[in-house]
Amino acid sequence: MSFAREKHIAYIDALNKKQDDYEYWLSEHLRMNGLYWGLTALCLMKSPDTLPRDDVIAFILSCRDPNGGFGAFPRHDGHLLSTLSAVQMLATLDALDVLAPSEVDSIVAFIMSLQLENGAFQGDLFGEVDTRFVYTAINALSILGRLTPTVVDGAVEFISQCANFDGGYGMVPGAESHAAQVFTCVGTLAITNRLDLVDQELLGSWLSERQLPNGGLNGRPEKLPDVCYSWWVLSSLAIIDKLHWIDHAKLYEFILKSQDDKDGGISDRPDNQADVYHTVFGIAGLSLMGYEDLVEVDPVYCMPKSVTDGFKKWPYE
Amino acid sequence: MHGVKRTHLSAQLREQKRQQDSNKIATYRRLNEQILALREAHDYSLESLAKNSQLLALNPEYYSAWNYRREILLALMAALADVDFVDLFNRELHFTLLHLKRFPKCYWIWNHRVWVLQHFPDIPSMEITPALIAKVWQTELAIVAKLLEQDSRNFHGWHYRRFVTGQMAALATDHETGAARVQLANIEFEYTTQKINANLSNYSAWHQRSKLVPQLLLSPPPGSLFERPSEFLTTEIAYLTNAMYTDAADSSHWLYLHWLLCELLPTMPEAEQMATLVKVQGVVEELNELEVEDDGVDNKWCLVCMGWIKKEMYRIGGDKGKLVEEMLVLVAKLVEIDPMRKGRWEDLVGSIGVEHEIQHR
Repeated sequence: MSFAREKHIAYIDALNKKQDDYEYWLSEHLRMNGLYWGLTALCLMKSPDTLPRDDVIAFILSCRDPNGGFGAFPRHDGHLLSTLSAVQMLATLDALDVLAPSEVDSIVAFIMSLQLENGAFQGDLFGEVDTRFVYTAINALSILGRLTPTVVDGAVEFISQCANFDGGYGMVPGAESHAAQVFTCVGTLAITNRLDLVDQELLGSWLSERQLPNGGLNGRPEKLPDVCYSWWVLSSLAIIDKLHWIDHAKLYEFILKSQDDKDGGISDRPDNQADVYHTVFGIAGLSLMGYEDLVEVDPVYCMPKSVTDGFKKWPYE
Repeated sequence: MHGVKRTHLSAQLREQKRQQDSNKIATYRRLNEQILALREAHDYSLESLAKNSQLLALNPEYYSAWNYRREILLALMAALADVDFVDLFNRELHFTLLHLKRFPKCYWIWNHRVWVLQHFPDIPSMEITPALIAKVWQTELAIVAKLLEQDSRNFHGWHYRRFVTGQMAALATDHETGAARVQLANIEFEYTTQKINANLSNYSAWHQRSKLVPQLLLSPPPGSLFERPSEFLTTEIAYLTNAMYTDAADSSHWLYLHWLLCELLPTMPEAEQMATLVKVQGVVEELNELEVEDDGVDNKWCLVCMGWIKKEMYRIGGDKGKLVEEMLVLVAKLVEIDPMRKGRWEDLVGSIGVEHEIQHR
């Protein structure tokens, strides 16, 4: 099977035209993230103009919540998850300047207001704490060039408490290692320039054991393989410079087998229903491994490397 | 979307789905619009709560609807509304449980349950007593035990279990807190044993064990094995030996063994460390020989484990030159039997060499 680039592009292009599907309406709460996944996949496939730039920007701005953040959809609540996707897309589209300085200030204030005394972040004011939210906060502040020593030190302290016996990281201190949480923790430590805190041998070993005989990667021991871990595991390996610790050819084959070669899109594993989430993470994985003439992806930000190269690096001068 | 089989619908079936969806879409959009309008009108009534339940039943991932739900509950409490709050909160618990049974991996439902329980002590009612609150947490522990029986690896379940026991420990009065924590840690340690006995590959349970052991060694329950670390280590190694012999291919207990040795050995006299390592090495070598007899090939985890042991022996001061040679032999075998991770094993050859050179310079 070969990489169905044109079909994937058409698949993503058609996503916003599925108003006849019940699922379209049931997924409004994920629309901002979904748009980020779609746009990023298109950019990596060198087709950034498939979604009209002005429409994307107009949608993002229509999701602004008076609380300072962005919701997933107009009239939905501002949340860190959708705020990060909004900021990432504006950066990818080189459109951060559509935000007035005072608007940037209110986004920054929203994010910072969600940091707790122990350095962790809650996703919104209702208190769910998770290393995902630490990553989303730090990533968004980094894109906006607005990290501070207080924010960074707290986040780093919290993340280091989430390390486990196997070298991995979990959602909170005490929680089991999970490859997606590893990505959020290692990504945070990469942005904050504290990879020295990671037991890279032990973590790299655990991550490399995620590859199964069929080439796919799982997120935890004794679990099924899933294309999204082509990103969570692979990007984490790339960040600690151990991308070569798994078999690329076999993973490549697994991702291609998970494509829908008729209607486009990639699914969690072969013969399952495709979705935009697995599509972008499958493609981003292929990009990290250097397959298929894709745009180079940044393993920390999951955005085109050419975009992230422009971000201010921590510690600031 | 996870685990949903792909289907390519025929034109006829597509049309059929379109018609079915069109009714569902109309219902959902009407309800959604009502909820958004009620919320924007700051309507915090029991009627709105009921409508909100209908919407969340259709879409439990709708986080803004969960937020509205909490706003309603907070507003009712603030206004000291004429409702039976204990009953209301119990119904919230019932509501989330109902949906957790359908969607045991939905973050927002778990999050709401936690929120409800955290606000339980604040509800305006004379019925709220320490005994009632203790009973609430006991019930939660029973619920999550049941859930972990159905899916023993659900990380939401394990996370929730740690949250509940944390809350239970915090309930103890100040001077009892230490003792309560130790007692709970001990109960949880027994729980991991029970889960592992049911399924040796329960990585979540091994993980949990790795979190409890340091706590228990630091504050051992009176009369327990944890008061005597080296005896604890011997017992634990025997337990692990059984696991290795039962399923040598599963990584869970091997990783736990590695951690346990790294954690406990350095606290012991060097002679005892070496004796323990020699003993474990003997067990693993013997197991590997059996594996070779059965399968004609070395067992990967046995080789990896022998490598860890030799590295520890090197640290303590065995015959360094010989140990390095033996490690390199092990790694060469690993390259052969585990080609997917060839890059890792080749890096290991390099780092063993570099380490040794630095030591000898």
